Amino acid sequence: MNHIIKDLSQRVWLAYLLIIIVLCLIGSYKDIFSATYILAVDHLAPAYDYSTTVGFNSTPSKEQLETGIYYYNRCVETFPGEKGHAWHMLGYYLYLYGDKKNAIQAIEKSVELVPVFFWSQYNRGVYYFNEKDFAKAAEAFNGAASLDMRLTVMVILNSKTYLQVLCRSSSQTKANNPSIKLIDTFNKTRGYQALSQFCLQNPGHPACSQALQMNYF
Amino acid sequence: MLTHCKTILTNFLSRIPVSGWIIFSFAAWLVAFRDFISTKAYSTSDAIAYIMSSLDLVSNLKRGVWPLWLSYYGHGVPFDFFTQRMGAYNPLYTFMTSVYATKVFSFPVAYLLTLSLYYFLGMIGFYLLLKKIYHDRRVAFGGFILLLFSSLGIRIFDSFLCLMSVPLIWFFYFLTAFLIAPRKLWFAGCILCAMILCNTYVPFYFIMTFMLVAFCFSVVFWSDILPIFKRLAKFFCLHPLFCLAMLTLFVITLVPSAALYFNSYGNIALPLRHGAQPALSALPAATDHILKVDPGYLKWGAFEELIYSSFFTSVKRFNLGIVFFPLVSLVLILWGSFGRINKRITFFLLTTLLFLLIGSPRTPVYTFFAEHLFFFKYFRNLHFFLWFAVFPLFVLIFSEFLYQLLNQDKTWGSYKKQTLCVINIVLHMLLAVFLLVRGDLGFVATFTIGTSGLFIWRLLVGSPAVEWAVCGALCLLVIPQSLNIFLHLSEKNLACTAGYPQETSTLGLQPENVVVNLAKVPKRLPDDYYASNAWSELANNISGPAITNYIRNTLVFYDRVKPLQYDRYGLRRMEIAFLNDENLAFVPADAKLERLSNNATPLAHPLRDNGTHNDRVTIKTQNTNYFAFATNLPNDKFMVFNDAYHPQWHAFINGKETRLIRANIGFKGLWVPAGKALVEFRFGTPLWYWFNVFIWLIFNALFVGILVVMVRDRRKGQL
Repeated sequence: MNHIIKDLSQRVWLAYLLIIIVLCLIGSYKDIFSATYILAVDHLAPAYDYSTTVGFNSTPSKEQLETGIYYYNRCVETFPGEKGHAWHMLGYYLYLYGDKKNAIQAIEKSVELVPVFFWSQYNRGVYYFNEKDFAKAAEAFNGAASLDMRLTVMVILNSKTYLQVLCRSSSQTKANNPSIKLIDTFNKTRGYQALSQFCLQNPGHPACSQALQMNYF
Repeated sequence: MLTHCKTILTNFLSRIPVSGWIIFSFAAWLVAFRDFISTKAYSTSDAIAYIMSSLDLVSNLKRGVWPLWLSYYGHGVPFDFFTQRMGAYNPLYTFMTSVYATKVFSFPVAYLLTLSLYYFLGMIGFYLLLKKIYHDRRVAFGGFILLLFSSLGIRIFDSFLCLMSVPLIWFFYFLTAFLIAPRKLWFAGCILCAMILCNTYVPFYFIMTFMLVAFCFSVVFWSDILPIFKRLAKFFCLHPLFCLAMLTLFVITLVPSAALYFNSYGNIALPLRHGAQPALSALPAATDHILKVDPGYLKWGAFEELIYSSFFTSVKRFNLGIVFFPLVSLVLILWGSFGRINKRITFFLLTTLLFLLIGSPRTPVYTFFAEHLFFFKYFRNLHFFLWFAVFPLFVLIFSEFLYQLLNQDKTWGSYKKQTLCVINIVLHMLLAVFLLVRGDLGFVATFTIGTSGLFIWRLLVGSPAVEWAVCGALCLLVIPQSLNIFLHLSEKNLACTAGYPQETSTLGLQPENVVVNLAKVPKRLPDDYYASNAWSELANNISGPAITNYIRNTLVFYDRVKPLQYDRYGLRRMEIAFLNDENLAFVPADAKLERLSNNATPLAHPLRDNGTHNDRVTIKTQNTNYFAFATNLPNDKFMVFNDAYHPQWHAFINGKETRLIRANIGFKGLWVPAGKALVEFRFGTPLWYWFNVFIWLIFNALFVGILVVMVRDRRKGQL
């Protein structure tokens, strides 16, 4: 028995175990996972305010947008399980195309079908903010900020619709638009949240119109 | 017939030396990344910034100029920041310049091809390191092929890690060789690699890596420390002059880094690095942000990188910058857990653990170092430790297990062998189930698991592990799976056709470039990655439209100058003048200018020029460090050259040095006399310029010297 214990204590697996214990004891894994999920969310899916940079190398052409709209319309019709995501992507393309009325309808449907999805909420907020409907914007941003990012990552990674976006690396866009950063979404959400609430209370304030003009965030 | 074919194949394969397998592996790697190297698939992120910086350096080297200033980046910046960031003295760039000068390749292709060869050079270094440790070519090849096909190589196309990892690998190869048997060659190699590493990116990454490895080595191999010191002391006593000369060279080559450090005080701005902190130097990263505030991306470390990568491990989701090792590495790491622990494995595991801990900002180990070690504030990309330290360490652990497997005890009884065979089957089956659950068990993965099981089983039952068979098996285990993933990655990136930067026909004064850059003038500074302090102050205090209106020309000639306090009122006054195009230049209130007006009737607006050929002003000569204008003005004018001000710029009028004044917050200004005059601007002193050239020559000469000696020793069979 002693021989066996002595033999086992000299094996590499014991070193592995020790390493795992040390790592588990001294790492703040909750924070690590949280940071990772936020960045993953940022890299995986599109936002309206970065609309020309995500998924495209440059500003998308009219033909590209029409193809996208056709494709995601078909997705909505063809894949019932994918409807929530397909509506979101359709809204995104319609927004870029300039069809804002249908875009918001699509995004509202997406929020209704996949309420835990960060980007639907966030893009809904951006839409209303740009349309100066600060009450709805604040509501959407509050909703977005309260969501669990892990769920959004899971939604994206398990969705065939988002795989299309995923396959076009969003990081490529940074090279073409160095001044636009895809990171820091969470801070942006908080900023939008605060500004929406401020503009709701002070609708005529110059800061609101200035922010709208400058695309401040 | 089958036996005959087998004999022919065996004869053929057994004649292939390890070098043949190495070349074959690299050829396969090139095939995997051919679309990236030929720029059909698009590189991203930091790789683009480095391609641009390399283009600036190489195009200047091709013209025979060592760049000290870059006019067309951020409205003029000192080049020493780029020199340090990309390690411009590295002989790699001399080779890159030669490749590009052949005019066979466009610059991005020349860059990516050269960097791929550089990466291959690094892998050769790793092979030699393993050979030095294990004296076994099979193990060395195993480590080589695993690291070659890891995602470290992929980072050529989205990062600059290759520039640090390759010299680091060679440094540890030379160091290992030197510690085992001190020789001049090894010492010179160590010095060259240390020189390159201290002049590439942030040198403290190398210093930290070296310190940590040395610490772990001392802890594990403490009984070997004294004999090593004795050997080293004997070597230094035998060759004092050589050692002194080498150490002197090393110290001399640190001068540019030190100069950058001191110049960073008040002369340059790196807002993304040092955030909004009122730091004196621009170089330190915002450590307080990393530790206390919550922007997630600033707290990115090794664990975050690993967890993030876990989202993308499948073939379809795989992307650039994702941690990847061929499946066989996992098999051997699991298999090795049944092996006995020894000093080597303890050393590798301990070092890996410490790198993971200091490479993650959310551990108390990191916090401790950040609070007590002064250079921790220079680390912004902590996950880099994962790539250039943990990656090679992981492969070293793999190599140790491969070594144990290949050199197992031949006296094992049949019972023990049978038990191990069962464990082998169970292990591979578990792996297959794991991949199946993840949805990654395709044809290639099944083939790899099957081959791996067969390979280990053959070794366990005592089949001879001859060199060619092991190398061939490792190729089968690593290459198909990696090719499957990498080719898919290329295919995904083929869709991106955005252009790469191309060499500009002339340097510096390209008014249209200036205007194009200005169109991107950020409304707030944090979008600027690197700028001169003068430009940053301007961009921070004057509105975008006013700057755009003002800076539409490269040269502006004023009749009047106004000293101004740069307070709120003064800045608004300047903004109005810029918007109205007033014939009035501004200098700091304490500038003590001899004259403020040309005493002639001032024009309503200043004269504006781009330095193209006309009667008034012509560009005589220009390179990146020097501009000369021939002027012919109707009366004395205050000339503002809209290229950022920096205290190291010198101005000359008709050959005589003239006082250069910081005008309009950010630019260079001086009084130019009426009539014909030659106005020259020169960045830095001739001494500093030739010192840089001298250092560049030292790097290249040392590299060639080491290469020649290594080739000679190899021919003599001494290597």
